Amino acid sequence: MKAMLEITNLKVGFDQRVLINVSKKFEAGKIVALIGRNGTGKSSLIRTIAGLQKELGGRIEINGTSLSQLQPIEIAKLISVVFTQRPVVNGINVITLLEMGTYPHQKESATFQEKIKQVVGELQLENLLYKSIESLSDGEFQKAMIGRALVQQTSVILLDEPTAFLDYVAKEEVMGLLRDIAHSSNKLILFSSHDLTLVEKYADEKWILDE
Amino acid sequence: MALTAIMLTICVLIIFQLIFGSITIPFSDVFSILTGHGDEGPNRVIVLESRLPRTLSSIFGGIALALSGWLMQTLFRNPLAGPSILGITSGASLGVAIVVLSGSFFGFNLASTFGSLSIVGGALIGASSILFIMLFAAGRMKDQITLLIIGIMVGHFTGAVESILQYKTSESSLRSFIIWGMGSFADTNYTEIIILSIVATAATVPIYFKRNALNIMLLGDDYAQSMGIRVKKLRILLIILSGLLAGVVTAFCGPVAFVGLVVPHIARMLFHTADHRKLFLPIIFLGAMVGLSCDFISRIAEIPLNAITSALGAPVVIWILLRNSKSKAII
Repeated sequence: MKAMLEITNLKVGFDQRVLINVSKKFEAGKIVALIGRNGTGKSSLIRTIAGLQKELGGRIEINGTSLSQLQPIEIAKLISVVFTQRPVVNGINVITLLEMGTYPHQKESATFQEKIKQVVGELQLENLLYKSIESLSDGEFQKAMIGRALVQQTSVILLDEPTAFLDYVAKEEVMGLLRDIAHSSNKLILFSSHDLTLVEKYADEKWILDE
Repeated sequence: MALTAIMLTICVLIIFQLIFGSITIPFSDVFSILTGHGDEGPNRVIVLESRLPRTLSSIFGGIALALSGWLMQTLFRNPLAGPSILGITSGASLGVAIVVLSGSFFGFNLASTFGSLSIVGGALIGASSILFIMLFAAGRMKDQITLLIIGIMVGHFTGAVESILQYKTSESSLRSFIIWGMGSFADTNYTEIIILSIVATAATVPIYFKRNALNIMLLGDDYAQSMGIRVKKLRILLIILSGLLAGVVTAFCGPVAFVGLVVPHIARMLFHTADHRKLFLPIIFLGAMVGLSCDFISRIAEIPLNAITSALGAPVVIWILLRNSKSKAII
């Protein structure tokens, strides 16, 4: 099967100091766990793949298109990201958060309204739609953020430690959701985690970062 | 509903501004004067030369400050950000301090030599100099917090220079400078009002078109960047817009305190949202309403504008912050 995301000799680091040099190919419809000890550069690698941090060398390609040739807005049509840290913001409700996912496509058309409806149904967000995001539990917030990433309609979703602040029940719910999304919508989901039990249970593949 | 109430209040305040004052002019006379049918008596001079420009200046000044404060609070994701946070107001103050208090240093007083135009010029040069410094810093800084601290430090630095000038200057110059520092919508002429209205109106265009990006900025730089926003460019745009809005108001009306800080809070509270798409019109109309009401009270009670804006603004901010104290959220 042809690789959807292909990373070739990708060098990640700071101030020209290379910390990671990796190559890997990923197929669509898979959920892949990125694991490694603290400080091995998991977050930096995710940021670099998402185009938020400049690579020190190498290539990242999605469906044969090199990301280095693309504008940030074009990358945002291919890759969406959910970060570990929960943004502290008041007065934004879940529906507004979901609508933010349409931004890279610069449209608020009927198609996107349909997509938002579909995501709301899939993630069972109906009861949360008009709740302000600061009032959500960590699990609900993470679901809303995953919903926003789905509205962004990218082929790849990157998540940096998506279960770091969740309780056991919410962890299972979020991971189950991510696995279902990867398998049912043919997206590639790449998440970093320290929780090896969850990784064993939910990931199709493991990507281990050595020091 | 709330927006309609605000618009009605604005209409009432405009009528009050034109009718009431040291002498009360009947509404029918005000209407005749405004439609060009009134007599050539003193009422016409009072309405057209004093009350109308003051009313317009408080409307556009209020709008400009409210927009400026709103942009700053979004940029810095900080509820205490306002037009003064970038040091723009301090820059304008320093410019005016140099003009007004220059006599003791340069042997001649710029303000008495060139008149009130030199005060406006001093404020504009001061504000734009700081704006350029902040733009230079914004191009190099990775995060807003550093920029915020630089803005505050620039404010302290200009404050230090101002206090040296104040200490060394004559009593009469000091008095002029202190009065300018109290802020006033009363001394603007029609040319200045036209400039003020153009800047305030023109600024709404990019704000309107960037409303979705501004919403995403609330989630922080990482999310903004990951959704395709060029954060650095947007940051520079916000600084230019906010600096221009605050700089022009400060140049023409002095450093008007609290309006820019308070209006976005009132808007979020009244409309229960921080969504830029929903707050766009409320911020504009509330800015006009707050500008008008503060000026009206200041005029009727004959006390300085900044005394009113601060006396009303400070408790409002405290109340809003206490009300939101259960939430960890900052905006």
